[in-house]
Amino acid sequence: MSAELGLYIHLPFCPSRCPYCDFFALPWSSGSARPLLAAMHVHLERLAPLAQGRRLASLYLGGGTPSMWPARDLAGLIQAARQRIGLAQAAEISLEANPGTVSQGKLEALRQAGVNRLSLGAQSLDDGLLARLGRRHDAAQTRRALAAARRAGFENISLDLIYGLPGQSQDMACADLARALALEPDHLSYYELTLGADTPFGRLYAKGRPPLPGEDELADWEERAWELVRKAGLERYEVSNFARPGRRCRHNQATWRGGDYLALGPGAHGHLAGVRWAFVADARGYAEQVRQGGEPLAFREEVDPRGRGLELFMLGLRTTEGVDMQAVDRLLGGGLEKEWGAALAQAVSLGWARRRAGRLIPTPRGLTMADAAAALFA
Amino acid sequence: MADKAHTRNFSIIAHIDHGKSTLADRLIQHCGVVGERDFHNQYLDNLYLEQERGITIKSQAITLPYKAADGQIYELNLIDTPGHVDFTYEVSRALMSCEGALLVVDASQGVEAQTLANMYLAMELDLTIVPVINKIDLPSADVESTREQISEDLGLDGDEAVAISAKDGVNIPAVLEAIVQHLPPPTGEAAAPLQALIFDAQYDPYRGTLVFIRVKEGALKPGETIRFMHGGGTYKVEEVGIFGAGRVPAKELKAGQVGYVIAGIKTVADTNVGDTITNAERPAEKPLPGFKEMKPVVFSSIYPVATDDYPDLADAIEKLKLNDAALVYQKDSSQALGFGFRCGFLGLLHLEVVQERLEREFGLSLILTVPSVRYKVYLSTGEMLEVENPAVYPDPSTIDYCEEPFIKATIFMPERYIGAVMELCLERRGENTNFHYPTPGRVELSIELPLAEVIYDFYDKLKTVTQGYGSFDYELIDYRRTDLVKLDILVNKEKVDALASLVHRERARIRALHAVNKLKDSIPRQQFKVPIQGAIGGTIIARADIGAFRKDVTAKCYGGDVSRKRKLLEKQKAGKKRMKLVGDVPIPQKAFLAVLQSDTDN
Ligand SMILES: Nc1nc2c(ncn2[C@@H]2O[C@H](COP(=O)(O)OP(=O)(O)OP(=O)(O)O)[C@@H](O)[C@H]2O)c(=O)[nH]1
Ligand code: SF4
Ligand SMILES: [Mg+2]
Repeated sequence: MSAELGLYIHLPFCPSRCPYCDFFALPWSSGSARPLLAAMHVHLERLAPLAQGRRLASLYLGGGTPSMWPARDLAGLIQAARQRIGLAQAAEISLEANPGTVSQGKLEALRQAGVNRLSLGAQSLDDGLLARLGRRHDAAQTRRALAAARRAGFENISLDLIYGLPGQSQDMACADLARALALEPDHLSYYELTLGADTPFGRLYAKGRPPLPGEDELADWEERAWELVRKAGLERYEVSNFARPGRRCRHNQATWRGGDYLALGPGAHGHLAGVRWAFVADARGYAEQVRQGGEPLAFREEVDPRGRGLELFMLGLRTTEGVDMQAVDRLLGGGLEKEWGAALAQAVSLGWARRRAGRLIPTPRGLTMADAAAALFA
Repeated sequence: MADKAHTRNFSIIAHIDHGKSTLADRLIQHCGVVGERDFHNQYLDNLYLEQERGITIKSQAITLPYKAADGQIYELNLIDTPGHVDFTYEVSRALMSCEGALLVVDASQGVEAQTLANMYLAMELDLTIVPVINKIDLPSADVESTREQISEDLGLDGDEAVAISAKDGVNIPAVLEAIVQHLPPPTGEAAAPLQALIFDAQYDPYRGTLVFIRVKEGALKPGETIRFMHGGGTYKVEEVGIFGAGRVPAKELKAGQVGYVIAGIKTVADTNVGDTITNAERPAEKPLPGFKEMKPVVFSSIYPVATDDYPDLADAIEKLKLNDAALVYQKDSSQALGFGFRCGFLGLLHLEVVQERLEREFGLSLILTVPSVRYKVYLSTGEMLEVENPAVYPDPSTIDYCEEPFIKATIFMPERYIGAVMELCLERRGENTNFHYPTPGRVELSIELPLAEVIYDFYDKLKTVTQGYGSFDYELIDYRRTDLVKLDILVNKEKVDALASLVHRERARIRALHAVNKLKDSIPRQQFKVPIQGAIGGTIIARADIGAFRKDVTAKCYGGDVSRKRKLLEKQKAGKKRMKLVGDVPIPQKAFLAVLQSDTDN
């Protein structure tokens, strides 16, 4: 299964910078967007041999706000990937989109170009909270974008929602969620607000301290939220991800199984059989280095078998399908029990996971404690 | 070398921060001992710690050649003394090496507790005192009222005081003239049997111990054999000399002179400040008066944060001890903190200085247990134990009664703070209060307090409640009966031995609450609820609970997060190895520090 190959393309530009965001994102400037796009095409051609004949099972256009690029640029990238590497049958092609950057016509063009999964960055459907999040769009735009996408033929639409916001109460959060579920998305990414240290939010707020909700409060409302989501027919398959049957994000699932994915664009990360790398998070520097024939690496590491095993636990314990322990055992050349027998027993005795059919499967409690559970295997 | 008539030995005494070291700098510069290029501020404070904190913790000496108004060259020996109550005995020995003292008073602060204490000390030793009014450049300087205070509070001649600005170098020659004219030359006979007073000692890695002395009687030169009259060791003199810009070897040191001796003495601990050096072949009849063995009064255990740093700590303490005779230590161990050392200090400042040096000079991360005093524990059997370590506190059922050391504190302050200060002192179990009004508007409060109550944060508190205007001095007086208990702190029902302390019963609850609340805030949540308790014997007197973890998960983890997250896990694991486990709960270093640091928010 891990023979499947993905491609992650990072497009770092955004209409403006959100105060909570710790992604690599830049305000749009066509002055650097044009040379960057040109460089990415050159780079794609150069790194295509890494696929070693494998076709792409998934392609993910992330950012940033990739949807703000003209549709023909995005289509051009998809086309290039198809030509240089090749797309497998029924490959998943995801695009992150912000409401307010996608018109009906653009959505149709994207669908045409092969995009078959749309991830809409709604964040909230409460205009007051959206304003506080520094988002440019409002709830009405999200609704319009979703309807337009349906009309354009998208059958796999995901909504991104954030909770645990400053000043948000449990009731507010549940109401927000209910509004989102009423839009009948196929997939939901439901995230607790993360405070990046170097973001305005990170400097302004502290986790668990007012005006942010306390840890216990948050745990209570999550239980309520998941119940709402379940009733709406979406199944939790990762800590923060929920989907209707058959609508899970294959690209991300492959990542969580320790699969291979190539990378393109500044700030993009790649992984091939234990080698992990990332390109510099610098649009200009990236373009410049590619132009000069260099590899714009930010880092490259060869993870040893134990490290790879740890990654599999760390990632797998965040998903409901859990960890493929036979795969871990193979990585260690049969040393699973010796290395992690005690940790496995502890995860089970703490009620965080169960062992079944060669897999370690997290319990709901385990998903809520996924970081602590992963730490058992460090 | 100058004869006795052209020698003056003097000290500068002052309340802390009134400008002793700054004045010393100006005198040194004026006499041209140190070239401008080599000069730096607080020249005598050559221990880096002193320069950084701006306080003097060891005595230093320097010989200043001075051409006076009468055209003659004088040799002025300046001895700079520590300015903190922890080091009173060292100050007294430095003073005993002099015939006179400059008493510096800050023109904006006036006379303070240590101005008085140091003056009394100087008077006891029969020194001639020349008052100097400093910081006249300050807008808040009030020279006239300072003169009055000098006359009235100190009984000196305020009109004769030289008014200077040490900072700006104003009126420095007048100070030098006053030294020559008003201070007496030394007495003593070079032909008499040797009596040299040790006023400090310093470790030199190449030469062994450098002993700072004042020759009172007789003379001393290389090749002679000397004996320490109290300490008992005999040594062969390798080198003697005086302090110029650095050490200047001399043929001999004679009665009246100040200088150093090198005699193959391995560690500073082999010398005792206040001891008398004599000639082993022709000894003096008796030592100079006033010798006291320095006894530690504050005790604390020092542990490395990482248990495996113990050998480094052991090595560092041994090296520190080379230069710090007052530090005493012995090996200690704690179930929570591993191996460490139980150490005795002259006072809290001394403790801080040692801690800081260990951390900075030796790069160690340390945990220090609650400072304690030495109690006398009388058992029902009639036996008496001296206990300063809670770990060896006997079973309460075997104890008849306990005694704790008391001090007499002198607090000097503007009258308006008297209420706040009294409240602080009474809360600290002060008794036998006495007020004295030296000048209108100023109060001298003398009060007896348990030492245990002042070693913690009394001085900080005093500074706070008097907005910096209160000053403080103390001396140990006696031992008194006390209602002592051992306070245990339990994490998840297990005693944390390093957090145990001996306290007065009345103060136990406040201490316990402080500790449990600090721990509650600094121990991360666990998978299970963790009770934190303060207990006396089996009785819980304070409790706080750390709720169980409800969740521990990062919201997002995608392809770009894998490397960082794996590395974080690996790093956390390394961090956890360094954490102490008590009752299955890892206690981070910051939790120990939070509890041990200060008692201030009770
Ligand atoms: N304005 C002014 N400040 C001065 C003067 N003399 C000293 N100071 C300042 O007062 C502070 C204390 O001076 P020190 O010379 O370190 O005082 P000290 O008496 O040696 O202090 P300890 O060694 O800690 O007892 C320093 O910040 C000096 O710069 C002066 O004449 N005028
Ligand atoms: S739109 Fe998304 S990527 Fe861009 S700044 Fe906002 S949160 Fe970050
Ligand atoms: Mg000083």
